[in-house]
Amino acid sequence: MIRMLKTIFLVERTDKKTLFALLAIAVFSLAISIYSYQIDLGNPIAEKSNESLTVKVALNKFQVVDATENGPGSPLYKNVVQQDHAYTKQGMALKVERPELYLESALRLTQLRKEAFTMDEYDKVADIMPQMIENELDYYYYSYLAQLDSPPPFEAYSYTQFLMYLLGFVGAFWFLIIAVYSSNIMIEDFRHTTLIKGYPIAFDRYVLAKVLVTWSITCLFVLTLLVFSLPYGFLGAWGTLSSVISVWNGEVEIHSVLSYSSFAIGYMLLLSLVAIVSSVILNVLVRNVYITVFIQLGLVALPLMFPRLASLVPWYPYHYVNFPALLRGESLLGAYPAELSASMGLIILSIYLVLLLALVKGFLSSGKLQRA
Amino acid sequence: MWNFIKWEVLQFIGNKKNQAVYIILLLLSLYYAVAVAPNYEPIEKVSRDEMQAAYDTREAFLESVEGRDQLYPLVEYAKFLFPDWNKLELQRVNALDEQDLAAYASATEDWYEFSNQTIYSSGDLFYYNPLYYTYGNRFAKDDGFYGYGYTASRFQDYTEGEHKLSYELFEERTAIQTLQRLLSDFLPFVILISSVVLTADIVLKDRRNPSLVKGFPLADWKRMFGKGIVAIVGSIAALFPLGAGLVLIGLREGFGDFMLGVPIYNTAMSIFNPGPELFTRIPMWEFLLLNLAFLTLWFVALVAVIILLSITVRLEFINIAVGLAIIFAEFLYFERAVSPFTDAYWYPTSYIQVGQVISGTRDFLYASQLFTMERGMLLVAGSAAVCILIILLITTNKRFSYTK
Repeated sequence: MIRMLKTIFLVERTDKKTLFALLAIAVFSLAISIYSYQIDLGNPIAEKSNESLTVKVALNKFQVVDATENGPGSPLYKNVVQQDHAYTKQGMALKVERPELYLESALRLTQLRKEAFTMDEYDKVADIMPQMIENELDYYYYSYLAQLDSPPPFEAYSYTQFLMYLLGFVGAFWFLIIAVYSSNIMIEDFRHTTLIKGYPIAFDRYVLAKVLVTWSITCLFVLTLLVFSLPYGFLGAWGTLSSVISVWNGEVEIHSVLSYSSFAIGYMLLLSLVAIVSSVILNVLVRNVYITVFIQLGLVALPLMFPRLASLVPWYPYHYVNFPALLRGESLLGAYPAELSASMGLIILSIYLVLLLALVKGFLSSGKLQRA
Repeated sequence: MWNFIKWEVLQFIGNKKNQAVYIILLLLSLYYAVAVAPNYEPIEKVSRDEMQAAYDTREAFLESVEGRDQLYPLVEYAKFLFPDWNKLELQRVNALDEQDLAAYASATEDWYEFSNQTIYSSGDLFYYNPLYYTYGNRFAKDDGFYGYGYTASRFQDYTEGEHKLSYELFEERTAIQTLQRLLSDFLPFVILISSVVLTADIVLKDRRNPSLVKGFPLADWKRMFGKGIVAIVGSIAALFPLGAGLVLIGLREGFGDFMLGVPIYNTAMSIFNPGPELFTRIPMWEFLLLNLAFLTLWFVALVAVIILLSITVRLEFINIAVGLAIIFAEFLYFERAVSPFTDAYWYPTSYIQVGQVISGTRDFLYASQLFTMERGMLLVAGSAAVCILIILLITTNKRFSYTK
């Protein structure tokens, strides 16, 4: 077994596709690091400057009246007026560089919005306000920062924050990337059946070896991604391990950079395995690279095309391939909300993987190969 | 040569991947017709409630300032403005009540022109339809400006031309109008991606069975030429499965007609000076033909690039990767309203969204006058010509063999 692993690895290592994929990931990672540094990613001064416009538009939907406590305006109107004030304060705090004031007004803003959701006539302004879960995530994030000793200064993301951003960005496409990469995993074997017959070994063990090698290459992809994102840290600041992010995972939670990154990387590696094993099965069944990719794409696209599926069949594994979206609580949005959390996805994908492996073991044999 | 092309066509049709592409396109277009198109909610809807509410609000304001003098200047301005605005609003409401579509079209045209001039030049005094102001959109006002101008021009056409008016027509729901909207939306991407996928293996498949190819005593460059033609025709054929969805939409919402005017953004106009000449119009058939011509040019360019890669790099996934990179390259550098600071109008990849290039939306988004259709077509054709030239140079070399 070990010898076979080695042989397959030697073959795959010099495969042009693998080299190209490694190169592409390295270039992408490097480019996004440098670009993000250039645009000051995460700097609140750059990012908050256009948000106050939406409150101004919201105000425009109300008749202008006295907005003091005993004034005649509706509660929602008063709330929006206060939001406008909070924005002004926030903008001022940015200009005079007072982080604690900024944090205070940001917190106030999220609180006001939280109250607004339950008010009458909220529909009137719903389009131009952030969604409930977005606001909730902001609220928890700012509350966490507020109880620290010293609030963070106004700076672009440090490396640790950028890392979480990068994993969230790449994680969304990871399943598709690996599905495309592994789409020809068994095709060559069908073209040269003599090669595989040369091994005195059962077909399922051969498949297992092939899957393991391909999977270790995807681990190499993750490593490349991480290594080539380091320039961001060299250019800017490294940040501390205490950087946090707020995520939705059944409920809103605060995660440190370590727990978030290890979760994301673990999830990506699981996704790789699922993608590779389903590629094997599809390769054996349809014997065509493109159709393998099309079917994988179709399975992922299905819940996007029919959003109702989220509540009808919550166990459908492909709901869970875009885990960054789940962590942002996007399953709670839209016309058919359903509570799909990433940890649930971890369990469901693991079960799915076991089922797929059982399928390989039980139904695919080298007999299929001979007919190629 | 003719036999070779016939042989290639048979292979092209028999290819499982190509069949899958056509079937997927058919399914996508049916899905769009059944599930997406009925839910289309244009911002410029025919909505009596919306108009009545706007009318009532202005009326209430006018009553509240009735007979008072010494008003704040802005209030004075509104007092001067609102009667005219409300007159148009009332005409629209009445036309709807009487089911007089022609009168509605004419009043609506006037209303949009009046509103656009008033709102755009008023600073932050008035706002466009709130649906333009989505969360985080910094260019909502410009979008509203474009949208209102576009709608005004559209309704002018309904008034002046001889069309069969209907609510579906007013909301751009008919089959031909849907096609026109989608050409300025994601449809060019779908069409060009399928072209890339259809073409990806057209040369490389022969390397698997080189003995088959030797059956035709034909120069390599002629073969490439034949393959290119098959790939381009195959890409154009991919438009037919997409048509199925349009027929479905047409049966439900009406087909519209080919004489409808398509508003073209007049880039010679300054956007600081809105006026009646903001949009000119071309007939629908001309717009569709121009799109077809531009898309065909893109097919030629993409096929040429893929054949060039196939005889130099000789890796199928590179064909796909480069093809997709060309199609999506614009997203890397696109930024709104950056015209003075960019030379993006020299990149052929800026002209992928053919519908938007032809209707001038691309110019509007870049706040430029330079992203013209003519320039785009020249750039794409030029790039294709360069690729074809290199292909000819390589394939006429005596030692070259693409199956080796």
